Amino acid sequence: MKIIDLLGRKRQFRRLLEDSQPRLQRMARAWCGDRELAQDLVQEALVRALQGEEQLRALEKFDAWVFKILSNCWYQHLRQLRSTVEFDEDRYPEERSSLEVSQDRADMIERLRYEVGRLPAIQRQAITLVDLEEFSYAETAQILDIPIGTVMSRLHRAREKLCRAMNDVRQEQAAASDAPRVMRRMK
Amino acid sequence: MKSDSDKDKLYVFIDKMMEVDPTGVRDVDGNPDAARPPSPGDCRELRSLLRQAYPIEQAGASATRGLARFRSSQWLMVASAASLAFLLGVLTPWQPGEQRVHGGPGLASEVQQAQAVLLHVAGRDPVEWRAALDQAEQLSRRNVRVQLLANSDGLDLLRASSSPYAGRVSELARRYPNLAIVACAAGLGKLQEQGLDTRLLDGVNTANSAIEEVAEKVGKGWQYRKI
Repeated sequence: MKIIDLLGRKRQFRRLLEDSQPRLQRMARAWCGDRELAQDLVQEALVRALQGEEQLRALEKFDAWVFKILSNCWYQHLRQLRSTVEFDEDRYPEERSSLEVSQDRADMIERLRYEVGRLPAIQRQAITLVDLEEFSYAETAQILDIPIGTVMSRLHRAREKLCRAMNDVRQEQAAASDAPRVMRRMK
Repeated sequence: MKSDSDKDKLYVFIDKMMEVDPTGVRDVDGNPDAARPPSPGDCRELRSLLRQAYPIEQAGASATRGLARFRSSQWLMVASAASLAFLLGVLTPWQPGEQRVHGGPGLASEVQQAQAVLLHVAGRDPVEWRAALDQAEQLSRRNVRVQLLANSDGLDLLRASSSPYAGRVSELARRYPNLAIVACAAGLGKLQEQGLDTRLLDGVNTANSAIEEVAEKVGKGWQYRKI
């Protein structure tokens, strides 16, 4: 009976792992800003999860567990990066094709992606885990292995910076849309 | 005893309280809007924008499909093998030293218990490539089953037009029947789309996808080493 239970659990574990992959990929991309690196991180996390399957006692905790593994892979990558060159946050922002603000929402999203890339990595992790994956503060604290108060303060700072940047964009867009009218009046 | 959701509500409340800066020193560049803390509406919109900025992509589905295929086609086989191994383990007395890989310290000691090792190369650093080939050779000499798997930038190690170790790769493949050298076909396909020469060195085989291969081998109990 125990063997059957074990096999059932393994099957369930693999299904959870499968289902989590697109979300892991999104999270890794939000953290590192690079699609290929994100794939490598997810692959690494996948392997570690498969190897450490026995460490997960309750499948209900799977999400927090697997995102914690991904977070550890990300930290390991950052550590390796630091050991060779000084870590440069600007390396990570992606798709910075244009920072010109337009009235288009797509530009707003592109700017947001850029601003997320500019956040310190620790704030970036907090806001993506809470606002993208909807982890609770407690789960985020567990994933990042930090006190819950630290999650709150990092999240607060990240939101503040991003909201400020979004407000800037709105103001610039409003100014840009007003500009032609001013020109007409001048004529 | 409060539940997690109660605690979260409390934290959200405290978080909102933290958004008020009683000193007013957060005014940046004298811009009153800059000093305004994010409102709940701002946070909602930010969350919505974030989800649009980072959509869940189905590109990762290849890996998912890989696992799914592994699960459906080979799960039964692996499970049966595992059950058989378990029963054999129970029925057969353990003989110390029988599975030991003889050799010096270092890598050999790390893989003393390993019957099969998957070495994974994904980077473009020739120093790593040489280390991978050294490890593959060292393990192969000890009759461990070894697979050297390359994907992403690591494919350059196995492509005829780019490998700085062409002779050594082919020689290893020829000399050690317990060593398989495998390139990721999905990665090769991408290189081909870029117009690159994807011909492989002699003795190199392909697997549909590196991640499928890793999942399958790890699922079968192979020791995994990323170089």
